[in-house]
Amino acid sequence: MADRLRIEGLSCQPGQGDGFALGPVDLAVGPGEFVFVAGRSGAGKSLLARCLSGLIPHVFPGRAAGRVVLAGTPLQDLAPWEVSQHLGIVMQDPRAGQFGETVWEEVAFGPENLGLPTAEIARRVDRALEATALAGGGDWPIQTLSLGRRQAVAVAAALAMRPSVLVLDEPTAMLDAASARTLMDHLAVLAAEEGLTVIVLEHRTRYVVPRATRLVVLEEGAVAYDGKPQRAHEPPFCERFGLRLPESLPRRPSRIAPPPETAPRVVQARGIAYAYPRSATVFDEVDLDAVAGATTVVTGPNGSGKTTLLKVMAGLNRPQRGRVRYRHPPAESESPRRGQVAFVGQAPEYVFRYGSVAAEYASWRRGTGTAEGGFLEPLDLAHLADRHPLSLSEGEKRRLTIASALAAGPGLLVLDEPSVGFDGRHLARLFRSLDGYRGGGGAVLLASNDPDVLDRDMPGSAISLSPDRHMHPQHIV
Amino acid sequence: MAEWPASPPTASTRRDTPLVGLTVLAFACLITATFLVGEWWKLGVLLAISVAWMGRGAGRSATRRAGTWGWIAAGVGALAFLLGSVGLPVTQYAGPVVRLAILVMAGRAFALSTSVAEWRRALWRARLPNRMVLLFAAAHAMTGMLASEVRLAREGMRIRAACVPRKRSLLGPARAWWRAGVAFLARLFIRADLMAVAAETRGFGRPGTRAAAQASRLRAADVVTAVFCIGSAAVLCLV
Repeated sequence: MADRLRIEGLSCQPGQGDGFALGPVDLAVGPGEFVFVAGRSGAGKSLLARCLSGLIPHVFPGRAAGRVVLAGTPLQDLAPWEVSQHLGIVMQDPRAGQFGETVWEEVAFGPENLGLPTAEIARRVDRALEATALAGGGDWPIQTLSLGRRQAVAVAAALAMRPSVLVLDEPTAMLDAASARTLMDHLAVLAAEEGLTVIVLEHRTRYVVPRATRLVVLEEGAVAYDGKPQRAHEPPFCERFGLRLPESLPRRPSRIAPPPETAPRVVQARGIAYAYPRSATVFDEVDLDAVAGATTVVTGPNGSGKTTLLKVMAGLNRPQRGRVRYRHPPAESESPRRGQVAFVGQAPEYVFRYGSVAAEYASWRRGTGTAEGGFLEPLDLAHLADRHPLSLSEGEKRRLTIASALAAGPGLLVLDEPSVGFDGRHLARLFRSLDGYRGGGGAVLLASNDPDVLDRDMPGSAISLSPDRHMHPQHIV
Repeated sequence: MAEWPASPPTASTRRDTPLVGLTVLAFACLITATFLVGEWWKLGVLLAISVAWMGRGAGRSATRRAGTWGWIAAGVGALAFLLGSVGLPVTQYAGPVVRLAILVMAGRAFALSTSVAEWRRALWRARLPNRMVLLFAAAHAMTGMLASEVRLAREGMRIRAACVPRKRSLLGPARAWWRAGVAFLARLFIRADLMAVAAETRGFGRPGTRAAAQASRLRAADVVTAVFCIGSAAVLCLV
């Protein structure tokens, strides 16, 4: 079988640093292959995607060496708009670059840029919507769609350019289980039936491994393994490359008792209801406790109201009805101005104010009595102390925000999808840090639809939200 | 093939009837013309725009309601009308504020009562130079992005305020605002960069004329609204 994509000695360095952060990488991929690219955070996965699509050095500053040849055409000689007709790329956050108001407009944006005849544009859009199970949804306003559907729209938009290779950078990072499986199913069908070459860069191995035909593991910018995808679920293999192992810590409902009634409630919500202006009710009549020394997990599909509930509990949104009470007076030895609630949201960079990781962390820590650098090392950030927080990867930004929040010593730590961009090793470190925080009497309120988080053994309780606006409290962990 | 998980049905873009819009706009123009006889006519335009906007949303539209600001502006306009009519020098003191309010109202009225996407499509279809239409499209996209950035930045400030210990110093608040401003601008550049990257990876940099797949015919009501809103705002700023 002739190679569809050939990477020959590709090396890459973003920005102006010396040496190369990625490479040299040599890889040949055939038509219809579904390649799963895995590796630790910072191993060079996103860098590989940017180099493959010609964004470095054409759009992002940086240096690249070596060649990427797509069906005989060296991509380095092409401008990004020419590359887009051969190689499509789907970014991690589907909200980052959407241009249309409706699904149809959004998917048509690319073919319109190419100046194609109207009939051809319509044909391409309809085909792309069909391939991603969005047929019939052309009139949907994009702003009203769940993240899962938006991600599907981003894939459809890339497909409408008729690429022969599709690269997806952490496409399931923000999706619930059902949406992630659906997306992967569609990609597998496109690869098997239409010969599309699919390259998925992911941390959530459980969705990709059953569908991939090949696994490539990057380690410190180089290919460390190239073979069968099933190996990504072997414990020694995962340990060696820092991958997530889905079966590592299964939930054991029968062993863990619900938090005792006598445990102090750090935050107590009673009968709270919330609705956005001119929108339907997000949730109603919710009672929720955050208990000292315990984790309360909020689960539910995309769009079920998890983030809104967390913001209400953190005091960022005021409920229309009901009351949220905060009850965690500081101990006598602690500063009375100690932070009450720390919220780590889905866009962590909006709390950054300082020019380096160390300064940002110190600004949260100051006056709280926490040891210097206390949470930077456990969360693997110490080596990044001089970097600007906005230059970090998604996972690193999230780790910095969590470390900073922990350093502030709040009574309640609220985490919204904390595992995005975390490899297996960092996920384990996060849980160790949270264990320590809970051990000190802190309460954790955590929303996630990542099974690698939900499967952890966390003392506390869980509630699930559903699109029918009902809560289902359960003491399951 | 697997289907996407069910989600609430989404409404397609709604359009109110041209008749409602035109009737209300005619009424608004009448009020404006009446105000032109007095010094305080500028204030009356605010009322006119508010009434036009609210009236236009009185059709079947769920998304084009006047909202709180519409009512506030209408109230201010009505009050100014009353004060001006009894001879009080309202414009002397309230002039700059009213000009700003009218600009905001006009922009919001235009954005909410007119399909900007249709305007954009119509401009693409008119085969105008790419760069000219790009300015309009970029301004539209950047407005939405700016609004979302401001919302998230405010949330970031509240998160920090709830958790980060404050320094007791006179310059502390000024420093905090300075840092917040710098961080805001830095993020804005990054967002704009990402948007540019997304456009590039979808063929936006291609030289030549862009195609427009969906035919777009602007309704008379849309054109009248745009001319009225933009025109009155421009006149008020220049006079």
